[in-house]
Amino acid sequence: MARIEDYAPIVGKGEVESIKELAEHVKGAKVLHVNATKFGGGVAEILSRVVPLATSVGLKAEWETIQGEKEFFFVTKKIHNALQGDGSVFLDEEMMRLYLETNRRNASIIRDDAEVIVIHDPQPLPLIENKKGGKWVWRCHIDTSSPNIEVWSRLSGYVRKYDAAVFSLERYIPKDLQGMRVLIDYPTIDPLAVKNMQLTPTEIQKVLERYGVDPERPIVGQVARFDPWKNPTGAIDVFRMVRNELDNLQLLLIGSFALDDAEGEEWYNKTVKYAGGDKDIHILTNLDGVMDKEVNAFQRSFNAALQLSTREGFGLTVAEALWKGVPVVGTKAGGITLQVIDGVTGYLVDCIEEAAERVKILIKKPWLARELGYAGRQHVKLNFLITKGLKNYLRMHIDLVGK
Amino acid sequence: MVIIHKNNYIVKLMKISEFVSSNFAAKVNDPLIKAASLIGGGKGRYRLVVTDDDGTVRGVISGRRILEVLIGRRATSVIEEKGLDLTLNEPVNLFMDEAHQIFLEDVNLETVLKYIGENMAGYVILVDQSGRFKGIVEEIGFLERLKGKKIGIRVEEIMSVRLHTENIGATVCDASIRMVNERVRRLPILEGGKVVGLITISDILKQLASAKEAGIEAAVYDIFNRKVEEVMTKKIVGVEPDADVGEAVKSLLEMDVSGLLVFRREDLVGIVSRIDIVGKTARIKGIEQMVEMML
Repeated sequence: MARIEDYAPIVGKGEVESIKELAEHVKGAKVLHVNATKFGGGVAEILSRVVPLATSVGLKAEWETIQGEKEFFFVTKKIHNALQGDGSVFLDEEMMRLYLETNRRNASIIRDDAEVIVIHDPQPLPLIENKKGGKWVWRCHIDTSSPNIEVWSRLSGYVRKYDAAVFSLERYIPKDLQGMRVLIDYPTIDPLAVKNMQLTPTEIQKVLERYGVDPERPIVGQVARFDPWKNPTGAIDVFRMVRNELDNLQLLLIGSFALDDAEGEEWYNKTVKYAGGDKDIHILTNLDGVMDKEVNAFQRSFNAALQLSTREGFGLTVAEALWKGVPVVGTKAGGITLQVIDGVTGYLVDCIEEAAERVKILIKKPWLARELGYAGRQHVKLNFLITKGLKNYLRMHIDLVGK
Repeated sequence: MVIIHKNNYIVKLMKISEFVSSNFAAKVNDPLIKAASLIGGGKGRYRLVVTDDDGTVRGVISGRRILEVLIGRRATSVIEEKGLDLTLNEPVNLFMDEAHQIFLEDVNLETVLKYIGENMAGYVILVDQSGRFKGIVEEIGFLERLKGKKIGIRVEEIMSVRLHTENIGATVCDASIRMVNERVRRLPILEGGKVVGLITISDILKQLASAKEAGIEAAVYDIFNRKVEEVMTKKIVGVEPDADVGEAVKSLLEMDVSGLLVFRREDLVGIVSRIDIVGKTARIKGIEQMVEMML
């Protein structure tokens, strides 16, 4: 069980004390988080750390997930894509019926005594229809800066029924939420989570060997869901360009099959097909036994991490890599620009060719990669650790139910 | 500052400390009303870094956050429980935002400009290795270095064309709600379609700073019921869309304002703010050229 005191060696005793002080104002508050999956993706990861930590400082926080059929998650993935800007998505009446009906069937997970109910992302958004009491918060983790207007207009009515909406970046706030209480909350990473904790070189080596990755040869990798927005095939393109010059390069594409990601399998298959059986491209998932510790070990083995997303909620895998001292070559999507400072913590790129050039530089100049990685870890330490996220979380509760 | 006329070296020799606009910070236990007074009373100040007693940075409080509390959009539970008077006397720690734009004090200028340009960030906070506050670098520090320079970008290339306005008959409360809703810091005031003034969040907090002795809640009620024309700035500082950004810099600094209205003849066509100038100049001209201009 996570204890806030455990973070003192990293963030200082003063920070821990200030968290405890804030927590006093909402001690005992009953908080219920609801999302679509306990496993896979950034939201599940954030909740798996924030909920126990909130509990450790005195809140009564719980976490539930909605249950649905595959068809429901197919619809919610369409909604997700539409909110991220896919203009081709159209929600017909049958899809809306399934979406609303599944949410109605999940109404019983809302406890009557919950004081704050935090609903994450669009999948459980219509649960607000069951509001009897408490303060309801919609936490949107995706980039809604230019949504498919038709789809958004079918959902925004639900959003407006909430007491507050929370977005990851200022520019993600949809233009038509005037009058609502809107908060900004940068996602953060947990340095003590299995995915980010310190590992010994031997532990890292064992993981690499277990999956047939050669620790003696350079490795570049992307950790992300198999999803068109994450551009896994772009990562393969970068790998191929770099390998023209550095023929011993290996690529790791690591993802997971979240229960709510109906397109994951399709995009995984597309990625495997695109890799064309290349033995130096390792495409690994939770189904291969790649869990948090393995992801941690792989990230630490990268000469450079890639984050080639075309759209990004925030891109916490960037902070994860930087925290491990690994420079990141990333696009300018979502929160990546807050984490990657060009030429300082990694490189920001506009195209695949540019990404390939940057990766080459990082592999050829290990001293440069080390310097950028060091700066990256410092940047994360100052700005993106979970203790900051927890303080924002506590202030939100003070705002809603503080005494 | 040491200047060596080789582009690659210039950046490293200009110290970020030369751009620090303030090393003043509020304390976590200061009452919110004090932060409001400090923002309202400070010339051109819009936000305050908040530290604990040993100077470690704990957060940032902005004018908008305070305005949100005043109109009941934030801290609603505390206000319902304690009333506005007592709420405004609660520590600023309960209301502020986490600071997310923190850099070590030895960061180089190039890094900060890249960050500001990429993210259109209005400021960065400098700390030492222990996290203690060393200063805030805001747009104004860069603008002062650009004063008197031709930038080579026209105002219309960087101005914001999303215009939010308020009518002369509106109350300060109406204007406050509109600024919070639209997430802007200033509103042009119109009469018969013509701009007759400008109201900013700082203008409103300034009123509060001077009226607080009368009892905070009563003062807020009084201020919010005033007409905007009693609080707005009537002297409009404008610039033409075809003007060089350098002219906007000059006006912003000389008039000590945070944003300029952009008029084509008499029509309001945009607003240009300090962050538009610094962030977009960094993007359009590139960091190296921007640094050269600041020498």
